[in-house]
Amino acid sequence: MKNIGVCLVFIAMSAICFGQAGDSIVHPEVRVESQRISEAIGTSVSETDSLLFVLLKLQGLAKILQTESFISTRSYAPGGIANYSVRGSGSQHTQVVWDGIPINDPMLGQTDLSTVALNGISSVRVLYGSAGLTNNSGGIGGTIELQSLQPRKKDGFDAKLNLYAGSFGAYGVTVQLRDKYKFLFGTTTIEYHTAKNSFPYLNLATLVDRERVLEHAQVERIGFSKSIGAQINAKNTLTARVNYSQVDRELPPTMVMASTKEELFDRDIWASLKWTRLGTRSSLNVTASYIHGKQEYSDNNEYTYNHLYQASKNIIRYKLYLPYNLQLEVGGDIFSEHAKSDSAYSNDSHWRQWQAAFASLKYVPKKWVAAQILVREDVIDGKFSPVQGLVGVEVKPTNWFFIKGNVARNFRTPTLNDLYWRPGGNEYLKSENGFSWEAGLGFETKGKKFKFRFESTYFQSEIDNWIIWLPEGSLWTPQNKRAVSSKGVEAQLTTSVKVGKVMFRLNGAYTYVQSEVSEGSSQTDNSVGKQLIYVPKHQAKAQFSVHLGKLFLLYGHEFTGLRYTTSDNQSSLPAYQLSWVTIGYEHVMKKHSIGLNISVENLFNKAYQSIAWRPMPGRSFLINLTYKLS
Amino acid sequence: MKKVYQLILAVTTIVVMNACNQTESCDDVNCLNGGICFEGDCECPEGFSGPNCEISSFENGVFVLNEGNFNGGNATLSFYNKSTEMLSNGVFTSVNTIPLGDVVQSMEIRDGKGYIVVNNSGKVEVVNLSDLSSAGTVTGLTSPRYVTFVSNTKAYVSDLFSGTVSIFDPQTLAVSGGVSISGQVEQMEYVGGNVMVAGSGANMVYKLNPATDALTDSVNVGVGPSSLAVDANGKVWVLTNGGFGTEVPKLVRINPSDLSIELTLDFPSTNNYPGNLEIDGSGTSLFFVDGQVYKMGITDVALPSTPFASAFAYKCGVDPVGGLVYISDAGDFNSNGSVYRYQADGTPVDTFNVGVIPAEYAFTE
Repeated sequence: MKNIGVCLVFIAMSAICFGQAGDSIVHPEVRVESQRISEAIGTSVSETDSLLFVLLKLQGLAKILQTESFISTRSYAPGGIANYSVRGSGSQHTQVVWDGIPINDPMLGQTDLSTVALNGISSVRVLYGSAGLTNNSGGIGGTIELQSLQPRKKDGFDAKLNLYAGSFGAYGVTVQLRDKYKFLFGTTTIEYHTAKNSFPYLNLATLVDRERVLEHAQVERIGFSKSIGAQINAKNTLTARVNYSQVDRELPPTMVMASTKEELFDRDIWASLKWTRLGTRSSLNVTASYIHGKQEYSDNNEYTYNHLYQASKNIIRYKLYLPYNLQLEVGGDIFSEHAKSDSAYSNDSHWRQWQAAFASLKYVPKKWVAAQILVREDVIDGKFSPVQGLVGVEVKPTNWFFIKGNVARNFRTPTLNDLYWRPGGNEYLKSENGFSWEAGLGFETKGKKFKFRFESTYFQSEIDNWIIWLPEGSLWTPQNKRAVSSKGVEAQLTTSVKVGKVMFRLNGAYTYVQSEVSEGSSQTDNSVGKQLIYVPKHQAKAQFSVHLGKLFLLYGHEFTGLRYTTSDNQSSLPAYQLSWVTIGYEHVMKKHSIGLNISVENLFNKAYQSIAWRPMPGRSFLINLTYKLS
Repeated sequence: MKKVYQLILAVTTIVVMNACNQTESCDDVNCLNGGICFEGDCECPEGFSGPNCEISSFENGVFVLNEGNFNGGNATLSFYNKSTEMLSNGVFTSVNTIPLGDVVQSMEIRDGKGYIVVNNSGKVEVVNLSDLSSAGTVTGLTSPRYVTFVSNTKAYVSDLFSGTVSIFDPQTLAVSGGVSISGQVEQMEYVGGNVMVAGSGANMVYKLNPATDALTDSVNVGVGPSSLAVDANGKVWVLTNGGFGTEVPKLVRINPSDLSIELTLDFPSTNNYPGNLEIDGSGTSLFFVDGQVYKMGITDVALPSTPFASAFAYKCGVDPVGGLVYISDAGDFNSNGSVYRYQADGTPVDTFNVGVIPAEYAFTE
């Protein structure tokens, strides 16, 4: 807490300085190229709706992705460890990137969605399949892109303050400041969230005292972000960013456990320095970054295990606009990852050196057809990965209809825990290889009072050398002993219509995923031909909203199909449906505005389990008060 | 007279309605093994139990302990009746209508009761062997592994990570205290009036005096002693795991009276990961698992080089009566597994399918 106090003072001073300086003189807009990943042509991407993002970010990244993307997420508890599956793959097959920098924990190979502080993030996108191969490898299932809060484009200062409170001891505050003065610009955010999560539930694993209140489930999250940038001249921009989050969690018991004392502390620091040079026919991005992750786990006997990883990730991208509507992009990555653990590696340190190079050629005319070919090669600790590549095409024969598709090859390297965990780590593991293709079509039309977009994609993928931990004698060790085939359909609808002063909006998404083990770990492996555990075949979600000026009413509904809990599909969790509703109003007074949102989650108080024997909350309320200065 | 008619009519209506209800409530009930449905419940013939009489008597058989996945809450108990050759899966839940818990570790049988150690649920479920109904629970444990009885009113349960051997009363199921032991604690054996404790964390085998609950002696047997067995000569065999690569695992024979090491057999390399030491009913043949099951005599002076059976083995058990060897194949460790039965000479007998991660066994008379 002492550190947080220092941070607060620093932020306040910074904001005041910029704020005082930036109010009177108007300077040209900052010319900053978007930090977004340039998704590959012929691939699918979903992006969070801005209103939904603002409403849902108080509840964390897992909630956003579960509501707004084709991703299936599952949480051990509200605010607890959150895993995810994209297109039937595992969490480790999805790369999470922050402004293009891969941030997955190299020890676990994934990101815990609950540890991400979102106040310094302006948008979240999901790039499905190998759409993110233009930026990173490892995203066989997909890439989740977090984009930092964008700076103001014009001179001045704006601020936003959120205060919220909800059921089961939840409350928090977020502050967001942005300022720009001449060639300098910056952003500052801070957030604090806590929740006891002491909700009532019915314990189905006992015959006595079935009505219980969840205990030992408190979550406390602190987040801070800061960016400072300078537009050196018309072509060159320099930006420094840092994103800090720490999450202190009690890990609640399952229904089949009497109690637990387990606790988990996570601290993540992402820092980057980026130089962008925009030429008339070219652009250059050079990023140097530092990624730090610390995890302290305390078990039922109060033994504490410490994991620490640090990485420097340096990325260079050069894009050249050629004649004949061609774009050439080349780039390279130089990563150095270091991990240390008193339990996993017996205090030994492990390093991993990672270099990569890629080249992409795009044909992007204004109309009709676009195409891309991409090749990427990674070298990890001196070993060449399988060559990766993508060929994608998009065809738009009319203004309202398009078709697209791609074929891609990707890979995932073993995690450091897979390689070096003591005991059991297997240094001879091979990378998992992924091959995928997809084809989709869509319709879109736009009028003054009407917007409509529908897109549907069929996808198929194969992952071989799938890593699975199995015992050899009494030792558990990872082995490349499985192959998984996935196929499915994604469909997404976005529409809005304005009738008089009233705007109606409807967003809907449906996904079908059949993800099966195609090659077993042994002759007696009963998982062959069966759906992967915790991957629902059917998922549907929809949000309907009515807007009248600054007043809105939003209703969301979500269906998650049956999920198997054993790989022979003999045990399962039933499907469930959840509903939520939010009503909000914003009162604007020149430069000031005050908004109030009231949300009801799990509107019909349904009992459900996201993970077996892990209770989830029934109906809950959240009230959020927002003040904006612009 | 009118009142009498009304009374008869009312009684008749109630009887007819009850009859209808009885018929309706039994419509969806399928009573097995000669059971008869009455008012929606199966009345089972002698020797069978469970909601649908699907469970045969728990005599003369073997409980298969299906560990289930850590934090999965899907531990189950299977029972194979050797007389009827009938297999019943998920018997604990069938009878008690609640899940067994998270990671069933071991089971001991004594005086008509079964003591089922459920590791990650931190408890010992106690059941009546007559019908497997719950007889109570030993709670307040952290990570229990094995139970050893020293009398009708005293038993020890090892607690893996808490560095404690807890004491409880098998009659009242109350925990009355514990014996502190450095590091992790695994299997125990009651021999010669003392309890031998495998202290896997400190690489020691301890002698525990049940009269005073004091550790009276100890011996260093190598890295990671976890599994114990007592042979026909009253000698204690200890299997170490070598710390999974720290040193070669060992099979050690100890004289329990003075804890002197009489024999040490080194495994070939640090890539051996043996575990699950078992002994047959006569106390003359040892079995252990190292990917497959291996068998050796207690008079052998070298470790066996060829496996007892070709089947992949996660764990094994040996029937003290008849000597059949039960081998657990857990498949991919996330789905229902199989049990292979072999005769003592290695001849395959049969196989049956059980729950998720079949591991250890408990035999009934």
